[in-house]
Amino acid sequence: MRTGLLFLVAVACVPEPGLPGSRNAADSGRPGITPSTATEPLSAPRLLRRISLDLRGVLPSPEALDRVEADPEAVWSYRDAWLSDPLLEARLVQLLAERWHTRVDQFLVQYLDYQALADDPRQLIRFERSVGEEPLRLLARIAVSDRPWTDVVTTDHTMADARLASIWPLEKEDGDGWQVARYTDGRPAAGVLSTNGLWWRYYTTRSNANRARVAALSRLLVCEDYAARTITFAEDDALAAGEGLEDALRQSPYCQGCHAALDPVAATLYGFWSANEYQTDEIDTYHPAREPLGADVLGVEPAWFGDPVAGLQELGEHISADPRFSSCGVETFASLLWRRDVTSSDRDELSTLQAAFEEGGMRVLPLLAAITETSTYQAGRARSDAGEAAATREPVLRSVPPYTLHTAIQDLTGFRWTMDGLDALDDDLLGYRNLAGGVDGRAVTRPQSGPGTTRALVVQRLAEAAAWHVVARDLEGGGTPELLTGVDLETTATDPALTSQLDALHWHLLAERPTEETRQALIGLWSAVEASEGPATAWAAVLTALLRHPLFESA
Amino acid sequence: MRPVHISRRGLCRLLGGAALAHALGSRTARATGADARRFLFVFANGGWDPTFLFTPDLDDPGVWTDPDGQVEEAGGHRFVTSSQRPAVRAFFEKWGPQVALLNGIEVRSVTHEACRRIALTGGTDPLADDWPALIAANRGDDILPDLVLSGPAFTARHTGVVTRAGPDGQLSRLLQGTAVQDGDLQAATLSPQATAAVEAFLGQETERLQARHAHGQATTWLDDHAATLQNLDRVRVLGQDLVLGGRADGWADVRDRVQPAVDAFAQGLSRAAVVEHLGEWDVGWDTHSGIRRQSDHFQTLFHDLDGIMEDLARTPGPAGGTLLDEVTVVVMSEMGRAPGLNAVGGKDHWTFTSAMLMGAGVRGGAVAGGYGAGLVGAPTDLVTGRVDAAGTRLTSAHLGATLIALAGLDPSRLVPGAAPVSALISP
Repeated sequence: MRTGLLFLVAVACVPEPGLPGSRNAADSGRPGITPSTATEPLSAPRLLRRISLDLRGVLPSPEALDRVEADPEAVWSYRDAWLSDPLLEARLVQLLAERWHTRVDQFLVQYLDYQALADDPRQLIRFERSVGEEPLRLLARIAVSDRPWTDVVTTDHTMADARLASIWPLEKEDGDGWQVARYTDGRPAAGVLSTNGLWWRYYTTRSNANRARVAALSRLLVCEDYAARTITFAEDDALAAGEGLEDALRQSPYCQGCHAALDPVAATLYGFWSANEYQTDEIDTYHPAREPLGADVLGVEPAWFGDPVAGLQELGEHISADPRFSSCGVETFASLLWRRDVTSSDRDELSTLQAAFEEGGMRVLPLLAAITETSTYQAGRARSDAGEAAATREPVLRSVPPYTLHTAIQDLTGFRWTMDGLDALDDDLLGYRNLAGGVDGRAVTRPQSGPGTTRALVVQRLAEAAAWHVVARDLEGGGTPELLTGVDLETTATDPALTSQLDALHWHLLAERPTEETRQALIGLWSAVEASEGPATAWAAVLTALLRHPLFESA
Repeated sequence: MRPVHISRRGLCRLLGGAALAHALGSRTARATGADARRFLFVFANGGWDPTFLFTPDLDDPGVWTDPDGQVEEAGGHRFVTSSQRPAVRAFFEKWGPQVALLNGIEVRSVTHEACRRIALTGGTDPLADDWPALIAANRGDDILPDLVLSGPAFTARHTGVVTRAGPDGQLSRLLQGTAVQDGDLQAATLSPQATAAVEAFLGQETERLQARHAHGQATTWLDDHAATLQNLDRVRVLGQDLVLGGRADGWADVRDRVQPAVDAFAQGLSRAAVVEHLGEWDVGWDTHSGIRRQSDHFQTLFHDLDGIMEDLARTPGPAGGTLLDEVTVVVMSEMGRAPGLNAVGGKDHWTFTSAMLMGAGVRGGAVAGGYGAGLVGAPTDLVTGRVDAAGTRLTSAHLGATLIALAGLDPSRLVPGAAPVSALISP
């Protein structure tokens, strides 16, 4: 299959265009991947931009845009190279956070027992962020290491930064940043199922008995969302008659519809049971001796959908062997890259992706590659003859998530917006993640799909700050020019260099050549501001305009 | 957590601004009615226990109720309260004639996240918009249509109407232009004149793209972009006069947190606003242990509600009366609590809950629905509000349909499948 070629070129440092055959979905002819009847594909430069933002969080270079403009097939060699780009791992952390919802930055735990936090409360928010990232870092590392996705629930390690390693019972491998780490408290090897970060986010109560945790892992790992199923106690005679809740859950056919599956899984999680949720050594330490409690408390033997399991490690193995685990992995990454939920009408496309995923050893990198080749991913404009429902369903203008906007603008301009060291677009306490349309995992669980007032205000302020940063660096002697390289403060509106610079900016930032109308509008904007506030402000205004452009804000 | 606060002084000065005067010009002539109505949602986050208030007629010894609780009457309502929460009786004595109660609402889930979505949208559809967003999107052209001060908000189709305030004055800083200046790396902003030039260019570019995308998702995206762009100029007028944070000691009660919404309503800036109420000490209503904290939470809630109603009653509204004539206050929680105590003296989640409606458009003194054995919601006649075996089992969708009707919108279009509880709507 074509995506298998990925591995022949993924190690190449310099992309070489021109893999055999076309991968544009409009004329792919691949079985199962049919050209869309609802949308036309993006132009090659805009597709390159979309892929670059999705996989790296930065814009493609002007040279790369030039290359794919001349040879659209070159998109795929860039894509393949970017799949081995170190930036991909951080991108996957951000993408998966939209679904796993672990980066809530607030956990129901007492920190005073942690000396490091008690001594310096400013570290608390950083610790909470690290807690939420632990499972995401593991997922992302498995993906970029080209290991089977099944490692997510079977591997014998987690990931930790120095902060987590200094507080939790962990041994971290040497190195800066996030590194492979192993818990030292005897917990079973079950990948993400063995991470504190997952279970601190999805906590339980004594009476809930780990069921909420099972609902979470079922949603995340096999795409069975029990919490989304509605229930009605009015229809359940046992409960309506006032019998004990636990008895009803075990005996009522109505309740058993879900609990027959939930409770045996919940019984496997009692090593994470804490006698006191406010006592740190209770909540951050695994308790092997409590594993048998599950069967006693819940009155069922541990199992995964009918298959008996002996402990957490076997649970992970059973999950990895569940056919839904594979399909859920495909759905997860497809929806994250398509920027919409998957639906029943995606069945054929998903089936093709899943077959390739399984044939390829359930590795995520080829899956990501294959998703970028789907017509849904490449949707660029609604076909004029498409029905309204179908045309509306496919997002062709996809709001760039706040974290991607931030990394793209930082890479482009050198401006990084931080508040007390925290990324302003990746934090809610002091920053603007929610206001810009991002997900906090608790109050906001889906990214904002369209424009809105507070997002526009955030983008405005970010764009202005970044624009001024560039002007200071490139035109006012603050540094080596990197973006405004063809002009200076003496350049006038009639100078061809100005037009060339505007054209170059438009191409680099938006991946489209400006129309003559747009070119003149940009010159008009520059001239109007220059006349009243001088050339420095004029360039800041032009850059701001392009950073706030609908084609910059969308991908 | 410090809220944003738009000062009264600031908004008075705001009124002098030419841009806002232009924006508000068309509103001053509006008649007070459903089409001018505004909505304040107070969301008791975590799940309140209806038996501490809403179940004066409950007759089921199998349901654990507050041992100190007693049934009292005031302001035309019967309710459960105790000497531990005197604010409840005081509130009903003062405001009862303007309060309506809806009991036995089935939320059909027992997880917080699902229940919050269901309570606010009527179902589990991830693409549904919540009641505040639906009302804001379908009624008026307000500058800050759906002002989310705190708490849950669900929007998918109408993301453009949501204005989030942020927990630490973020909206204020954005409006004032100090957002990036407060960052670690000092940075400048553009002048208003340069910003106007930029946005004129962006408006042209958006139009150009609208011509390219004749239909489909992009048209909606670009329409929202254009509308947002047009709105920004009006929004930024606010930025001149914002007060950051709460009170000087860093603590603000819910009444203070609601104040920006009251001010926004007064000036005709917002159609709906949302604020969460986390009970006493902001610990949340999720009392899996220590169920008696519900009493403290209700005491705090009603103390705060009294303040909010006072503020609405003395604040002139844009249609000529007071805000109490124009604002419907919706007090709700995502779930109720189970009939019995659990092993640690708390109550777990329950699918039946209640809601309170107050103020504009509400039939004061009305009660609809009730609880039967096992704390299960009773079928209800939507017209009379009485419990009726032949009636309708109330769900969150019925509450939503009622709110949509109160907003003068068509419930059959926006909440298909659920009729409004007309017993709660003033004729």
